[in-house]
Amino acid sequence: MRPILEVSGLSRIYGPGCPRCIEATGPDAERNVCPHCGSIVAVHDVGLRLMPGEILGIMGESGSGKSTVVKLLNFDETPTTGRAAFFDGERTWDLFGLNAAEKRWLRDNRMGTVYQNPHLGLNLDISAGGNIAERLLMSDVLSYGEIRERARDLLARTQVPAIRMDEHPRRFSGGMQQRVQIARALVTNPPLLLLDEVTTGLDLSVQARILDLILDLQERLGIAMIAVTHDLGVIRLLATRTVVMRYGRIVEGGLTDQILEDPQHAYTQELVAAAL
Amino acid sequence: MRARRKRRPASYGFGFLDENAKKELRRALMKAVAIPGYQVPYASREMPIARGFGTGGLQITLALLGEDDTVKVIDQGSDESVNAANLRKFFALVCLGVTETTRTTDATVIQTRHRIPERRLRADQILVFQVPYPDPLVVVEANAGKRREMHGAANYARLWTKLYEDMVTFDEITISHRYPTRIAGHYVIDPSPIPRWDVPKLHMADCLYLFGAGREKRIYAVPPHTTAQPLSFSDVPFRVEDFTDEHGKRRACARCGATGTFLDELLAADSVKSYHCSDIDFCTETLKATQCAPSSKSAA
Amino acid sequence: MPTPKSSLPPRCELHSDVVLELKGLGKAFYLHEQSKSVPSASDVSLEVAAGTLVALVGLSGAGKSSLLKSVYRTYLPTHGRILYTRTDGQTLDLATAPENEIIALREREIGFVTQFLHCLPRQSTLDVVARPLLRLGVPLGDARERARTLLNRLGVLERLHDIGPATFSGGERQRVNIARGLIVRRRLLLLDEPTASLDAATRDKVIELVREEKAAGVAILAVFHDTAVVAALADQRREIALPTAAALASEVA
Repeated sequence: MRPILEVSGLSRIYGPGCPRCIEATGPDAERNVCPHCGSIVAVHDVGLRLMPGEILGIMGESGSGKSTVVKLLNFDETPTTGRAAFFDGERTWDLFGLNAAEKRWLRDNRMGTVYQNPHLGLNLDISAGGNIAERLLMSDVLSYGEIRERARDLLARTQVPAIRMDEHPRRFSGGMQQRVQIARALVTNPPLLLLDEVTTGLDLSVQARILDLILDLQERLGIAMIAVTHDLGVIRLLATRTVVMRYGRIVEGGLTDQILEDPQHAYTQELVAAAL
Repeated sequence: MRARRKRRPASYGFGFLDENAKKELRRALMKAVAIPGYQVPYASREMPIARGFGTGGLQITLALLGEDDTVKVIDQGSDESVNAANLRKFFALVCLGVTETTRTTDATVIQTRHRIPERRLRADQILVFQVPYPDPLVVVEANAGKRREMHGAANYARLWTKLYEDMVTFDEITISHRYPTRIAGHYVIDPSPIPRWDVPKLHMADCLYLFGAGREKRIYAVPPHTTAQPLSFSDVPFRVEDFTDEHGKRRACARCGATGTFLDELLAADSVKSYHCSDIDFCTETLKATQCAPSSKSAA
Repeated sequence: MPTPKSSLPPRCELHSDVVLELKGLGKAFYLHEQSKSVPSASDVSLEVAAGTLVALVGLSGAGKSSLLKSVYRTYLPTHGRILYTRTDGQTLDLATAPENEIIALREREIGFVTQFLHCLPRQSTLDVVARPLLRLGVPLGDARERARTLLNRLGVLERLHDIGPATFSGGERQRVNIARGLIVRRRLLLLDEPTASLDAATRDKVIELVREEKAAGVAILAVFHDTAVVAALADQRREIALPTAAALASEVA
C-alpha cells in the first residue's frame, strides 16, 4: 500500500548552525541547544510514513520538536533540510519544493490543521459559520447558499448546535471552539489532517468528546491524521502507530500498544512509568 | 469662462512639481496602467494643501496636464464646492495655458472626489480619483507585509468572509462606499469612496481611471476596456442604490427631473426632504436640454 | 545448500497447513532505569497448524502471555523468529514485519482475546463487539446483528447491549471481550486466559465457540488457567519452562 505522506531527513535548526550542532544535541546529549554556537536544533533527521486513513501519534514533551514537525508540514516554518512527499490521489507533491501559491492551495484545499490554541486556527471576531466560510471562499466556493449549507452540515457533524452558527466563537467554551476548528479544517474534505495538542487544556469530559469526534470522523471519512500530543491517554486512544520524540529526534517508533507496553528506549520507559 | 490670472508665480515651473517629480509620477502611472489594480508605491510630495485633502489626485493631475488640456474638478459631483473650486484655481495658476471647465464633455482631465460623472467618459478623457485608503485589505489584515502577499496571491477570501458576515447579520451586503472591486480578474482595489452606483462604470470603460493616495503614497489604475467586478456571491448579485420612494417608484431629481442618476437627499429648513442629482453638470445639462425641448418641439 | 537466513523460501506443500511457527523465540525486558534485563521466555519453538489448538502450559511467570504478546507484536521479541503463513501462502516474520503489515494482519487475519477488555470508552457494548466487522467494511446493521447474536450466545443480557461495558462486572466484560475477539473469523487466534473469571456454564459456551473456530480451520495458540479447558480443547500441550539460569545469565551479559 502506498503511503499518503512520506517524510525523510527532516531538520530544522534555528540559528547559524555549526558542524558540531548535531553531535552536541539530541536525546543522548540531553539538550537541543548547541553549546558551541547556541543554535537550537528543534528537529533533526525525522522520518515518518503515514498511510491513508491512519492516525499516527507523535508523542513527546514540550521542547521535543513535535510541534515543529507539524509547523514544517503545515508550511508555518521552513525546514533546514529534509524531504516530504504528499501522495494525494493521482498527484505527488514535493512539499518543500513548492512555490508559495502551491503551498497555499494545498493548505487551503488538501490539508487541515487543528491547533491547541483556537486563536491560531480561528478568527474569533467572525462567526463560527464565517470561519468555515472563509476556508470555502479560499477554495473559490462563491455561492452564499452553498457555503451556508456546507457550514451547517460540518457544524452538525462536529456537534456544534446549529443555532450557534452565527455567533462569534469568542463566546464559545474551549471544547466548542475546538469543534469549530475541526469543522473548519474538514470543510474542504482534505485527506490529511494535522492535530497539534487538540485536547490539551480542556476539561477531561470535554477532551473525551473531542477524541470521540476525531475517531468518528477518521472512521467515517477515512482521513489520515498526525496527532501530536504529550498525553499518553490521547495516544492510546487515537493512534495506531506512534513515534516518540525527545530533543528534536525520534527515539523510537512502533505500534502504539507495543510502544506503551514494551517501550525500548529509556526515555519512553520513563514516560510510560510516570503515566502508570 | 472665468478669466485666468496671467501672472505666473516666479518660483514654480509648469505644473508646480519639479520635472523629476513629474517623471517619477508618470513612471508610476505607466506601471499602474500596465498592472491593472496593482498599488504602485511612489514618493508622495509635499503639496500646498494638507494630506488627506486630495494630494494624491492633485499630484497625478499635475503630472498629466499639458498646455492644451482642459481640466475639471468635482467634489462629490459638485464643481463649486470650496475644495473643487480651489483646486481648479490652483491648476490654472500653476499650469499656464490649461483651460478650466465645469463641463464634463469639454474636459480632458477630471479630478474627482468620491463620484464618477453620470455621462459616460470618452477614450480621450482621464478621470483622476482622490483616494483616502488605497488598500481594501486593510480592514481584514493589519500587517502590510501580509497584505502584499495576499494581493500577490489574489487571496481575497477574508474580504469575501466580511461580505458573508454582512449577509448573516443584515441579510444583505451593507457596504455603501469603497466597494471592493476586482480588476482584470486579479487585484482587488478600493475604488475610493464612490457610491455603489458608480462601481459598474469602472467596468469596460472607454476612459482611463487613475487613483492617487497622497498620504498612503500609492497610485493604481483601471485602464480602458478592463473588467471591474465588485466582489459578490454567485447567488447574491451586486446591487446599486435603487432610489425608490415608499411606493416603490424611482425618485426623480427635483431640479431636472432625471430618473437615472445618483441622487443626493437634501433637507430643507422645514425638514422636507428633496432629491437632486449629485452630478451638478449633468443636472444642468439635462435642465438645458429639457428647457430647449419644448421650443424645438413647437418648431417641429 | 545453505539457506540464507534473511530471505525465506516459499514453504513446501507438506507444511502448508502450518499457520504459525515459532523458532527459538525469547523475550526479555531491558529496564533502563535499573540497568538490568528481566527474562520472560526463552528459546521456545513450536508449530500451530490450521484447525488445531496448541495450549501453552507452565508455571506462572514462565512467560506464556509474553509469547502471545510477542506473536501479536505488542511485545518485541528479543530472540528468534515468528513465522506466519498468510492466506496467500507467503510467509513472513512477525517479529520484523513492517508495522503496516502487522496492522493489516490484525484487522483481517490475527485475533487476540486477552483477560482484559481494552476498548474505546463511551461506546455501546454492541458497537464495541461490532467494531472489528465495521473496520472491514461490513454495514452497521449487519455488524450489529452479528454482534447481538454472539452476545446472546455468551449470555450477555439484551438490556446491556446498548450501554457501555465500563460498568459491567468482570465476567460480563470478559464475555464482551470474547465476543469481540470471535466476531471476525481469523486464521490465527491468540487466547490469553479468556475463561479466567467465567462461571461454568459460560465457560462451556466459550469451549463450544472455540471448537467452532477450530472446525472452521482456525489455528489457535492459547493460554488457559483451567486444566479442564485445556483438556477439552487442546490438540497439543506445550510446557513452557521458567527462564533458565543460563538464559538469565546470558541476558545479564
